[in-house]
Amino acid sequence: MSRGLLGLLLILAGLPALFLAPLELGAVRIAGVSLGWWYGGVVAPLLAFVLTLVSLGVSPDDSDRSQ
Amino acid sequence: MSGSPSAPAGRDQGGWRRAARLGSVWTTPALLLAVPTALIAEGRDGLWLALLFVVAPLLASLASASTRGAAAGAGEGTLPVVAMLLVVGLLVWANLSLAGDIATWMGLPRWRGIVPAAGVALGLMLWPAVARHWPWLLPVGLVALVLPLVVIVYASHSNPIATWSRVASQPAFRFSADSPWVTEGRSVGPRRGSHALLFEEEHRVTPVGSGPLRIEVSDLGRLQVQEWTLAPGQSVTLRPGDRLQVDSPSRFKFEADKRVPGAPVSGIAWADSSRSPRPVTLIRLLGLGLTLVGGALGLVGFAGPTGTARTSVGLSGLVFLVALGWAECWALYAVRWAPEFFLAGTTTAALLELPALVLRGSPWGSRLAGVTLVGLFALFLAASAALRKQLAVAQEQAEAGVGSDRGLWIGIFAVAALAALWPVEPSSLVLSSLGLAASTRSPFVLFGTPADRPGAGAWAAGLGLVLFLGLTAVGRLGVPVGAVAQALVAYPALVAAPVAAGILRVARRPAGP
Repeated sequence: MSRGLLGLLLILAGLPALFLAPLELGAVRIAGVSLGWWYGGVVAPLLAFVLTLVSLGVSPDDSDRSQ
Repeated sequence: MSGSPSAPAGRDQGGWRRAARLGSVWTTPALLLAVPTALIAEGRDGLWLALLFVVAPLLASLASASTRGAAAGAGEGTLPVVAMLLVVGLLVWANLSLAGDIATWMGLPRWRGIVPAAGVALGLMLWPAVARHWPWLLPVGLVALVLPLVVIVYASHSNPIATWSRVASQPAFRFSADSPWVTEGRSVGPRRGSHALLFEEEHRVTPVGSGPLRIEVSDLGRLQVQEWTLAPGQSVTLRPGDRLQVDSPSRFKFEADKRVPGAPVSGIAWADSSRSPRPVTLIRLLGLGLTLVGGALGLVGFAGPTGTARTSVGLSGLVFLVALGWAECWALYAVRWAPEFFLAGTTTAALLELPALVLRGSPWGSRLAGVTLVGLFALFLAASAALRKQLAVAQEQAEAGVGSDRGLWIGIFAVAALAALWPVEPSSLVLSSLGLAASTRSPFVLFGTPADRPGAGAWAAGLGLVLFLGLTAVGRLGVPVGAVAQALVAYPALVAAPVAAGILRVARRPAGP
């Protein structure tokens, strides 16, 4: 499995981990919004997007450049 | 192959057209609206679907890029194509069902939404002069969705972060005095398997219209059903613990400043706690995750002749992020300004009313709801055209056809339109479509077709299909007792996809000496 795929799966796994973490870690407030919502709603999707682009950039598709 | 569209997907020029195809297939209105619906209904737990909405197609693109040589179902005959046909058909059905729901919400018969939507989509797909320009429908749709949201944010004088904080600190979700559910009354019906509204405090309810009113009353631990027939204008007062039966949609007026039945107990309960026990939550997370990731692999993960390019994945990724931002904000402002969405009977289509509920009394509210509808319709048209391209690619890769392109699509829309006349929750049809894609097509994207074992691919796809349909049938005939059994029938891909993948994996092992 490529590192990019593994990274995306880890990003996904982060949200259930926050839900199930002890001491209600996902409910900790940062700038008025809970950590779970920051992560699942903002940080993780952006991180996944950047990681995908970086992973594709490591071995870019030739067909894209040819057009 | 006995028929193909005039411009096969593989010959699309430039990353933009490929991005539009990838983005349009995934941001189909039925799936997109499932995100705010889940966030409203489940709060924190709904974030899982929101995250999967972006990550699943990105993961599928990356998996497709890393296994470019493996075409889904290559050379395996018609079975993978038939599976793809079912996947596409279910998605069209889901969107036409949504069109029917929207028509019902507007007070029209279902067919008034379904027939025009199906007719315009077919016209777009089968009229070559127009079909060329379909990718532009995607940005048009997104702009038409985002515009009303910008107005809502501006008019409410509250940015999304402040709105989230406000919602999370609310002690309870209550009807406001100017709510249409209080002033004029609104229709309430069964939703998510629940046929009754539970009242947690004393609440006066006034039926609008005639007909008997059935209330489940708990008296000294004994459940009684009382039936009332009220004269117009008369009301009945329900006590805490009473349940108002809503087997069919009925119109009621509720009391101002009382808790909304079915809403979470407080803002913090909605924002930061789970409404299900932990084992059930875990199984649901796994089932939904496998369904969406596997569905994305099966639906958009196969690359097609031009492969998966960085530009097209980047552009489609931006589309997913914008769509996710819209869905999250739509849910947040709905919970803040219209907690009545928690009421049973509030369908996905009713979310369109949000601008009118935020801008109460302004004519711009209904106009912006119309703009939102235009945006969803544009996304539906783009999704239909993109699905046609995906099906063509699937036929090319499998070296098999299932009929002429024109006749096939007329058939798909005719059957889906007929089925959509019967109300079915669009999000459940989308989940079935993605589950089927996960069970029958995703293993091919991950492992490819074993070249030296002809027939293994057909066995994998066939068994995946049979298991998926069998478990779905079990779920429809009667939900089994127990959390694990319920999750298995709710997400049949949990069983079907690993079995299909296992067959392919074993078939790819080199034969022993």
